Amino acid sequence: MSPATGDRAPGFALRDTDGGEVSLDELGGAPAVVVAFWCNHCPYVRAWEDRFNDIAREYSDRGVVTVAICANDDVTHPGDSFDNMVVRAAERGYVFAYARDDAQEVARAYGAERTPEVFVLDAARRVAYHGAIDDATDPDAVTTPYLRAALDAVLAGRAPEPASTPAVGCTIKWRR
Amino acid sequence: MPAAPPVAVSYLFSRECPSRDEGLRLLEDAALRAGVALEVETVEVLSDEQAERLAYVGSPTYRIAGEDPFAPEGPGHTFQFDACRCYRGPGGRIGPLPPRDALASALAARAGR
Repeated sequence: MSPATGDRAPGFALRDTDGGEVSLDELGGAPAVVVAFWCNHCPYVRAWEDRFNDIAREYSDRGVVTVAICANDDVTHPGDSFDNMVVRAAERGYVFAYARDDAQEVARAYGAERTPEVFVLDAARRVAYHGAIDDATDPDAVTTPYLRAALDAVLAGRAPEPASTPAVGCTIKWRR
Repeated sequence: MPAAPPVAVSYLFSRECPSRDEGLRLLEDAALRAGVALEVETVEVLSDEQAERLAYVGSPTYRIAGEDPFAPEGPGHTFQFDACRCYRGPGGRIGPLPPRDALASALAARAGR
């Protein structure tokens, strides 16, 4: 089960595609953090990929840190291996941290089920928003930019409305 | 003039695929657009063994008279029952379903229209 709105988000320390480690505890000064469950192969991730990267870039100017986490089993889905994550991040010019959850423990701690599935954490690292990036896989059909609205709310000291939406995407590929 | 025989389509999907229902609606919509009658067989892929046997590359997959009009190129595909599938749309955009017009064209071609 996912942490509820207002709950403290589970911590993590995971290796990322830049060759280092990204740790929630070490993002102390960020006024908001986006944690997104992500992967390489999912068509939904690919549909949202450019928009998500744009959001990460734009909001980084306001101090927001974005971390995408791939937890998919890379035995059954080798396209989601760490090496392929490194390639994907470079090819697509990811401006956000892209981290590997080999043990799948972080995904389970967040109760994540799909890719993409995003959580917005406030400055105290409480969950402020959980769900979809926006309301359409087709970028031309978007009417409600949920993630942007949630970030704007958190940065303004308000509670996002809505605080949750259904995440639409492929299921996380759990180890069998 | 006798009506054209329906085009046989196998629709392969995984239960957890979020595009499962929308993909089937897309097929019906594409058939309407193409003016083609369909004979649809839906196949839920439940195991890796079944995926291997069907050479199933992901959900949803359309087989029109046994052929996949969007078959991914090259070797090296793994066959997993819970695999997702990417389709390329206008402008190179990737999405979970093929463009309706492309599916309609494939149906029309099979029906000889």
